[in-house]
Amino acid sequence: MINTLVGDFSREEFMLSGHNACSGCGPAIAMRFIMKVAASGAVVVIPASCWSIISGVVPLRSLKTVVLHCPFPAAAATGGGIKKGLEAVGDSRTQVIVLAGDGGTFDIGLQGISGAAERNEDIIFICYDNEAYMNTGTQKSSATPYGSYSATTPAPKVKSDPKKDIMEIVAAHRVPYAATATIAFPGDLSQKIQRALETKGFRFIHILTPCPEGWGSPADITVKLSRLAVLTRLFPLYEIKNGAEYKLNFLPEDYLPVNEYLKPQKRFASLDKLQIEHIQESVENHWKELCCKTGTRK
Amino acid sequence: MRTLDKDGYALPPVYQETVPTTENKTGLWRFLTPIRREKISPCRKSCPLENNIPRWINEVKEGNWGKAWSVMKKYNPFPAITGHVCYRFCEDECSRGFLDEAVHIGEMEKKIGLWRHRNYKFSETKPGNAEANEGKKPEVAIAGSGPAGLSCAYYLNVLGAKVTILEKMSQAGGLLATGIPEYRLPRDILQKELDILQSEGIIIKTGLKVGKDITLNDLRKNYAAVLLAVGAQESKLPQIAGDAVSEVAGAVEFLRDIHLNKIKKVQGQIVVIGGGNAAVDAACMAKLQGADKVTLLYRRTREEMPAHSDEVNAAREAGVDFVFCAVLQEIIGGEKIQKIRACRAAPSRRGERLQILAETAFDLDCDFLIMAVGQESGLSRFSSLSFSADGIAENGAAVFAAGDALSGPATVADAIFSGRKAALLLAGILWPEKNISNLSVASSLNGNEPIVELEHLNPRLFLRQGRFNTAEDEAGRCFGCGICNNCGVCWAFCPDLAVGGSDFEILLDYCKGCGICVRECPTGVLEMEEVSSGGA
Repeated sequence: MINTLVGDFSREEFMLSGHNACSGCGPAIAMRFIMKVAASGAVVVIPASCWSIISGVVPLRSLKTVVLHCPFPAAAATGGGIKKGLEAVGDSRTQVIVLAGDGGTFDIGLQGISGAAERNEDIIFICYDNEAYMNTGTQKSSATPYGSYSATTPAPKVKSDPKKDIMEIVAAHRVPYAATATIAFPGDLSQKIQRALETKGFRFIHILTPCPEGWGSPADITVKLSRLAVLTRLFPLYEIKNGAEYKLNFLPEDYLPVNEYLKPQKRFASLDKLQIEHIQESVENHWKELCCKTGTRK
Repeated sequence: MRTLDKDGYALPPVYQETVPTTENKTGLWRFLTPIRREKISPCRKSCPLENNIPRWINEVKEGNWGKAWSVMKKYNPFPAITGHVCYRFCEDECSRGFLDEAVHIGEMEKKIGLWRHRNYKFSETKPGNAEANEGKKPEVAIAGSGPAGLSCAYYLNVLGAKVTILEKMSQAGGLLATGIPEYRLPRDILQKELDILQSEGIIIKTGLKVGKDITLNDLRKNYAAVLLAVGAQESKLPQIAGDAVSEVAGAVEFLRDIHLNKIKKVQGQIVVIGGGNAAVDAACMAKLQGADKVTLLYRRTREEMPAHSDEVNAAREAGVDFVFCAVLQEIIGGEKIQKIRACRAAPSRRGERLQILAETAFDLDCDFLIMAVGQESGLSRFSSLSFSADGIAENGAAVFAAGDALSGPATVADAIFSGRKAALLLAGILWPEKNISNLSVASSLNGNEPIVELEHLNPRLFLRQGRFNTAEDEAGRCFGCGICNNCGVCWAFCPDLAVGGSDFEILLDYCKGCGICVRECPTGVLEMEEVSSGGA
């Protein structure tokens, strides 16, 4: 164990240095902590995404576990199938973990998730959310937030629709466990993966992972942006059990204005004052909604 | 590939790619390299002792009191004393103060000192053992057993000299014994400190005044070097019309007489003139000793008072009345003092000329007048010597000065620092060929060291947490400005697993130079440096 200021973690690594992530990659940090907690005794399924590159393109591998690359829309189905197959040969211990990007979760993989969630397949589905198709050149996904630049929503015609609320979609399937996490809180992230491992049925974790290349932010503030997302309440950390029991995991002591989070990112450079106010308002509405659901008075 | 877990359970066999990514030296991508460069913390910068506070706080955090003491003693050999009496300039500058509340550095310092007092093993055999080496040890005489003298004695003893301290009073400790009120420094703390020093082999002779009972020339003949740490303990008494009365005393003398039990009881109306710590201490002491009314007159405003706010607040609590912008004009009374007459002055800043307002004179009843308007250095009686700013006698070989005697009245911490500097100076004379290592005595900063700025830190990692009950908890609140305290944040946030897990060194083969570790480092010890051409 290594005791750090941000949590106590196992010394053992299940990910190797030298992977091909960009400098300052947020998803790589998330992957490392997921692997630390879950890799031993798990099969990992990865659809097309940055993570499929980071885990190694032929002939490289960076994960010390069994990895299966699968087609873009089929991640949840592949995961569910592997789990059923393992059970058929009498292996009930091996955990199946699907690691997908926001494209493979919010858009292309959505029908697969819905199906697997409906059947309550015994898999953990982890989505790293860098809010666009970063691996192919920053095309907009339905995880791209309102007001963000992307290759397919260039300024000044930046994205005009809000981000899809994937947590509500998953919760509506009444799955046993769903949670949000982000890389600036690795202790919380590890805990949630541990909780998912201990739960049976379809488990879903949504991790916000800033992407310096796609977001137009300096490489060194990746973790800082992730922290600001939580402190501005733009990305609250919460859990949903059985689709109904909401729990907030982190209550910021004093809220920061969303502009603190938006300003360092070039993808939001074209926003005017009204648009920023609009984002602030929608953040506050979402927070109020969440407080209602969790019974938090704040 | 088959992966076995700790129970010998194997994952299903599936074909895996064979080349580990560690073959891929991503360090070649880098054009900036994180490097570790220790900096000076704001607390250390403001400490008169230049004490490396974050270093020993880091040991306290782990409960390693012994290690904390071994860091502390290089900078400050008397943490129990300074923990009680220091004004804690460090806490005024503490970076944590900008988040919630400054770390309680003074309390922890005191605890380290008391830990040392509890755990010190007095050796009875030591003086006997030392005799064998006696001939080889150079002998040093120190005049004055105040904080400067004691500190210099401690360090010279550690470095291997045979030290004799000469104290003119009947009890050792200088200002610590006869100046600082007992409510600020319990005398058993001082006594324990003196006992420890004597047990370490330092000889303290009381009742010997250098220049009177023994001449400086005798000392120079018998000792390899002489340090004059005689303090500044003579109050300056200005000539005020009609002051030829016996009920006027300097603050230093007044405090000394109380501590030596020469004054048994104080009564009546006391007036104190002055705004420094000595004035406030004397006023407070007079009140506590039973004076009916104590009034302190200071010629400028409260904000301009040189006395530390701790002292002023303590005096206020004790019931001392403060009159600001008032100047003593005349002492009224014949044989016995009856009244003093004072005038109002326009509010002014220190260093500005005082403007006395005409026709504002007022009288105060007064039975005893205490003057605290400056102190004379004890060096004045060695008028044949003159000293450089460092305390080296310019015309007397191997004679040095330190403490208040050299600098004028200052704090206990300043005096201890002065003693430490003098010890290093003397060591250069005693052992000219020896390279004095910094292992036992910290040398002073040269002022060019980089200082931690607030923007180097990452306070958001320290979420506000409720009350802190133990010293270990309190130490955990310290950001550790400017040092690496193995917090592991760089290791945790590295996307490239390019920080080693043992002592958090950067693995240059893989570091892509993103700078997350530098940005997230809570102590500001990491910084980015450009890679020289050719990459890693």
